[in-house]
Amino acid sequence: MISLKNVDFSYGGEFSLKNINMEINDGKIISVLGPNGSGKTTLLKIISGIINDYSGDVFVDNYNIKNIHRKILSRIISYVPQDLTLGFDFSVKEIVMMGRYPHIPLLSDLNKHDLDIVKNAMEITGIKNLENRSIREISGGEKQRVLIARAIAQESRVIVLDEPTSNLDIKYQLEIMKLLNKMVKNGDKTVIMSMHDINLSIRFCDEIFLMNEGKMVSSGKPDEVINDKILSSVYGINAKVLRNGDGRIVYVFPDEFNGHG
Amino acid sequence: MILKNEKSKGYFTLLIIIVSFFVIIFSLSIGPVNISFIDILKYIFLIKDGGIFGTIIFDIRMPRILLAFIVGGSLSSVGVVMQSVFRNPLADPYITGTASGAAFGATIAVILNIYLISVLYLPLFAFLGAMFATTLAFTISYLSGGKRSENLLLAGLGISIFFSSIVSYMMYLDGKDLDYLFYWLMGSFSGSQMYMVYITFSIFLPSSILLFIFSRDLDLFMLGEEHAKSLGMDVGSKRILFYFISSLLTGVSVAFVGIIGFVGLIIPHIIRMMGGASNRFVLLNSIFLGGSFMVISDTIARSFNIIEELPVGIVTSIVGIPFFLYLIAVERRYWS
Repeated sequence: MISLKNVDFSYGGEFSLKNINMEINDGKIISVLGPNGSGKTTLLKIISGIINDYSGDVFVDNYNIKNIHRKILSRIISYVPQDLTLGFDFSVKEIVMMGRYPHIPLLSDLNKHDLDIVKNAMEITGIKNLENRSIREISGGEKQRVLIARAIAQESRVIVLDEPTSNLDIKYQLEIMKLLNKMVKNGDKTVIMSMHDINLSIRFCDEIFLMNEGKMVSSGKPDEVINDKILSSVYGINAKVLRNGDGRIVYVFPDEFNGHG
Repeated sequence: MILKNEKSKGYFTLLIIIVSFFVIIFSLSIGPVNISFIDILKYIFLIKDGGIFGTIIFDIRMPRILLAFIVGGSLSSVGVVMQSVFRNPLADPYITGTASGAAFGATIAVILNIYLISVLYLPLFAFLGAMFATTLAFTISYLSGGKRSENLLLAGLGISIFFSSIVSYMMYLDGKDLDYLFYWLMGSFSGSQMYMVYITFSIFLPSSILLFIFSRDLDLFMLGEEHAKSLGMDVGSKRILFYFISSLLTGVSVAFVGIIGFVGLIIPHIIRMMGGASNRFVLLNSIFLGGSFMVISDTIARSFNIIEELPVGIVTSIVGIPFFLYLIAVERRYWS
């Protein structure tokens, strides 16, 4: 379980997180929603240990991550950034192999076991056929899958992803979400991600954390968190949430799709 | 990326090592007294002592060629390290001001006559100057926003010109031989001695071994700080380690042969074009290609003696600056 207790963070007075408390159970797929600048990325970086000059505490199974050595932490939590812009030619396979970095001792190289894990990660994400291609030659969707493959090769229990679907077309959005869903359901992985697409988030996630202006506004099951009122106050839109008979959300219409009446 | 698999990369490395050997033999054969290829091989492998040819080969040409090879390998390695750590294909010890900082440090040792105490003081002061300039360039580019490649290059160029001017001024005030200054600021192997070979090699060998051991960290630096941290790398301490090695290699090179630009820029780029960015591959091949390139450049420099021989930095700049401009103009999308 991951828990955040009274986490505060500010950066040059521009944006900040205020008193964030969260509990994320193992084996769940959860998403962090909120408008641009609400602090989603900052929150994910704090959970992953990339930002560490915050106040408050983050615990993984009751261990404060400030006391966990970075290399050990990266075997527990992996982080998939939004993008990888790179001026250098690494092959797809080389990037995925970097996921083994925290597992390889100094002075040794990837052994057969490591290479099997790398191969498996590429097969799961469907990028095996790209393994010798340069990371600069492939599409945004393929690149996203390479980064996910690297996180899989990292063999961490928790995978944190910053908007894994934002640069993708619908086909790859669904593919990635299904892949993450499968990893959570089949294994003992926990997936934490930030998202923009409310509908995708409702469909695939066990829980939603909704943020606005650096604060946690609401959290819980998607059907409980998302409603017309909260979308209006957080996003400033007149959204219409369509539910079926038992109260489950079928679809969220942003304002303009509902503008006939 | 032309070479797609490990096997072809292996053959490429083998080819470069063989070529390096022949470049050294070739350079040994060239000079005011021409000695044939076969004779050179005979002298190296069969006759260890022997007359005037032996003296020319072992006492006159060999120190110079070995020094050129080691310095070429060193500067290329520093290029590889800086391009990785700064995430910038245009970084090089000359561009970032590290070499001029080394020259500044060495000049202080010369002016204060510290260099007379021991042959180690000149490289030591050059190392301190290099470390100072690199830190300065990085700090300035960090203060100006950090992320943009141009900031580092502009800061580095500024520092480079600044330190070169100070060096010239100090030498001028001290009444040092200006010919010597000219050669030093443009780089020259004309003063090569065997003890310089020993000192540079004793820095170069352990540094290269360390760089090979930590080549995966260089790979992670290339991806960016966030990626590196999330994969468990201690970014801060590794950055200091790489600054240290870069300054050491640059310092000892500059102390003995002056400022030679653009080798560290051209060589790693060519290697990456051939076999991709994986730093173990790039380092190994850059050392040999950089060494060969420097030996060839120096052979041209010393063969060009109409009045006096050319500073080798002029040869490398004539090749390097068009290459630098090409990178800026054509390959901008790769670095900005």
